[in-house]
Amino acid sequence: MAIAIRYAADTHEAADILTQAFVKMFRSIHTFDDTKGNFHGWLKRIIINESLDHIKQRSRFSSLELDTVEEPVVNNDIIEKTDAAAILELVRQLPPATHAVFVLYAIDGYTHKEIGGQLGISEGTSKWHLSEARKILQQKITAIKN
Amino acid sequence: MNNITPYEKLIAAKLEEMPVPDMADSIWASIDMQLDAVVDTPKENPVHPFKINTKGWFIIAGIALLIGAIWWYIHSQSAANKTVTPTPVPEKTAPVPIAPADSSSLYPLPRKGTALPLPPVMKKDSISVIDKLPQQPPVDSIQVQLVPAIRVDSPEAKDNRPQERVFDSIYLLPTHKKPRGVKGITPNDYRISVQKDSTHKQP
Repeated sequence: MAIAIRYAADTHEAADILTQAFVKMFRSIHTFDDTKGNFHGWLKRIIINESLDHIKQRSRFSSLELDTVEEPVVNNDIIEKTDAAAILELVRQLPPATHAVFVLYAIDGYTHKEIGGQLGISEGTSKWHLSEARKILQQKITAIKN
Repeated sequence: MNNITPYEKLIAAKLEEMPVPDMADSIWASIDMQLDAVVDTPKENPVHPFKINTKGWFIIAGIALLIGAIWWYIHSQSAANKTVTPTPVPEKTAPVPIAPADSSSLYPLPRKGTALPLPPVMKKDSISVIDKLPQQPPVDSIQVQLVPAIRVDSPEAKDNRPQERVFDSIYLLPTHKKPRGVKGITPNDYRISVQKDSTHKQP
């Protein structure tokens, strides 16, 4: 549920994602091979794929290339003092495609190549979305500070 | 850009600690309902009630061949009967004139108005017209030759010449060679020679 919540726009969408993911899991349980990985990782991948399918339905991934890299400076103390629900709300305020790339990269540890393969975009577009996510989050976190 | 920044790690840790809403029961009910719906839906390859296997196709083909053979046999038999059946020939009858009673007549006279069959009138020089060939015993189909009937008004019949034969590729020559021409007439008799009268003909 925690995985679906990170990608969903709200709690109801997270419940839908989880339901669909479990139905798919039960229907394809015979394809699970424990020699390739553990069951938790397999189920996590199903939930993430289902989440990305939901995001693709409600957003459009345009091809964008990153020209300059700007590393935003964010005070860690602010994040530590901020509530988890508030941080989740900040992440959900990102545009859908940027939101998906940020969660995939920063939280679930996907590389830009893997994100590009998952979402059908180039690595440059994935980097652009990550940069956009960092800039927006910096502005919003700075706004919380003030 | 390719590294996760410290604040992102903090965000990830915060989101992992995020309390999950208590929706387990509703989610499980929804999963149960969707799985039941999946089970109730027909499979992609449903079993057809009238599906015929390979053996069935062979049986159907055999029955079809048998029916075809029976039909062919019946059809050939009926065709043979049609060709052999003779057409009814009308009887030639004529009223017999009543002759006066004669003491020399040994046979009783027929009553007036009765019709007696007459024998066919055969002239010595006439060519008998055969409308139908006499029925022959069944022979090999290769040797059967259909000879057309001789027409009475044809030039062959008038000149008392045999009708031209229709040759085909399987025509068989007769075993005994017939003598050619008329006896007593040699080929020299047909030679055309210039006579005296024709050279001195006056215009």
